[in-house]
Amino acid sequence: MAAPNVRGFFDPVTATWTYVVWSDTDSLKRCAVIDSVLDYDMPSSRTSTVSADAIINFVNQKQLQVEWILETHIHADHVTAARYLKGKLGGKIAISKHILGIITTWVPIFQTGDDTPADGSDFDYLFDNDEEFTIGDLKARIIHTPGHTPADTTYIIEETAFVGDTIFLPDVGSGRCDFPGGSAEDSYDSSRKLFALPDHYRIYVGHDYPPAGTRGPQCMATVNEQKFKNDRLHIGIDKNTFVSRRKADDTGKAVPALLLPSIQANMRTGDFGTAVNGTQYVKLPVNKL
Amino acid sequence: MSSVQSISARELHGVDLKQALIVDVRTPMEYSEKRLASPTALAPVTELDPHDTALRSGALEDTPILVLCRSGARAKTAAAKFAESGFTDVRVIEGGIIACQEEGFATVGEGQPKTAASSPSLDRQVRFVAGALTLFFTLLGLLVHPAFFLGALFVGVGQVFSGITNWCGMALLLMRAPWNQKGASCGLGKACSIDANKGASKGAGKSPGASCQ
Repeated sequence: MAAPNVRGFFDPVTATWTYVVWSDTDSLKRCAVIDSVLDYDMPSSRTSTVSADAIINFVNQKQLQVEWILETHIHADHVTAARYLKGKLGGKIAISKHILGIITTWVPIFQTGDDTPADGSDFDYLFDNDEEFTIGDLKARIIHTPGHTPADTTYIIEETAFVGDTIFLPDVGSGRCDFPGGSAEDSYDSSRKLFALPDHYRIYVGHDYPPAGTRGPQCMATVNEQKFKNDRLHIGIDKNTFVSRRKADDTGKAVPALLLPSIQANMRTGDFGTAVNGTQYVKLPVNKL
Repeated sequence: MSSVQSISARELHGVDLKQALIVDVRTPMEYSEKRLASPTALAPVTELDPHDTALRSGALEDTPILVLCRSGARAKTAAAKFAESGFTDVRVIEGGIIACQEEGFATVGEGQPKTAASSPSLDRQVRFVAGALTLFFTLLGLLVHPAFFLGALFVGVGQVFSGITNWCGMALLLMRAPWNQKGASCGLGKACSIDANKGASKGAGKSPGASCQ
């Protein structure tokens, strides 16, 4: 088995890539959806499902069966559509067991302990480090690649790797490391885990921020391209140099616009929590961050 | 070889663009000057590799491919390449980006109305550098050695080539210059640290900020 089929969907509002992954040789056409997006308009606090419905339309057109709805981490810049997709398409929502540390960190900030299970049971499955699993007849495994957040993970599916925000395309570099528990040192070490993969493996990123006017959004670079062309992490850059630059660039950086609604919802697979009189609410801690 | 269909800019309103891939096959300089605001893959027709473009854009061979250039001519060549490579749903956007703009599709780029404070556009930089180099080599040819006239000749030939093909190596080099890279200003105004353990805001942002980059 070589590389699986990968269809990417780019959300220009949050610069997020969502992927549908499957194999042509699986008679049941089972697939995984990785890092979905629930559209959320912050000023009006309204959600919409345009982006998620595009995934649903594609899955239905291809007559795929969703086996897994995977999250690479708890996103800070968009709300996941995992729960919405599960309701429409089925499948198991899964994430790394390291989400438990994220819940421990963030639930006290939001005071959402009443409706955010501390054991991560809103998710259908929590992966152990290095755990192997399958998507139809595709072999997959999960590796821990912290740095951007302490819970970031990479899904290696045959000859492809879905890295979330562990690393970005070569001309963009890497994800910020200033979220709680983030670590530039870990980010560097995680990149070296990816660089240990065979050179021809394809690395699919969680976001793309194309340098203005130079190209359109792209989703993939090979391991070899990342090793020798990544602006921040290429072979030859030592750890101290990377860490110094990363920390300097992260100092004083603006908070992602959707950080507060995203994190509290994403710890519940994209749900906004218990409704009061039929309305769900987002909690915005004041003078806390 | 699959036949390549066309689609008018007006008909484009009825297409689910989330299920399609728009490929802009103009030069990087043209793309930089003006492009569709909705996501497009940049793949100049002279170096188009259909499979590589699709792979890096998350598209498959049966993904609808909508090919775009300035007015439609180059897009036909590029669309044929896609079709010959096995892509099954390839269409040329008639009238290219000009027709799209007339049909109300938003565009972005350096070619938009400029303010006095904005940096010189890329074509203006190319004209300045080409002129300066020609002058420089001409002076050297007059004052130092006639062999330097070859430098001026080289620049002149390059400009003629650029005029004929709309492909400019000098523009490609200038695009990599620091002043032509993405701005460093923060899009959200006041910025703050998000290290919850520190619990305090500090300083003005210096990155796009609203992202995970």
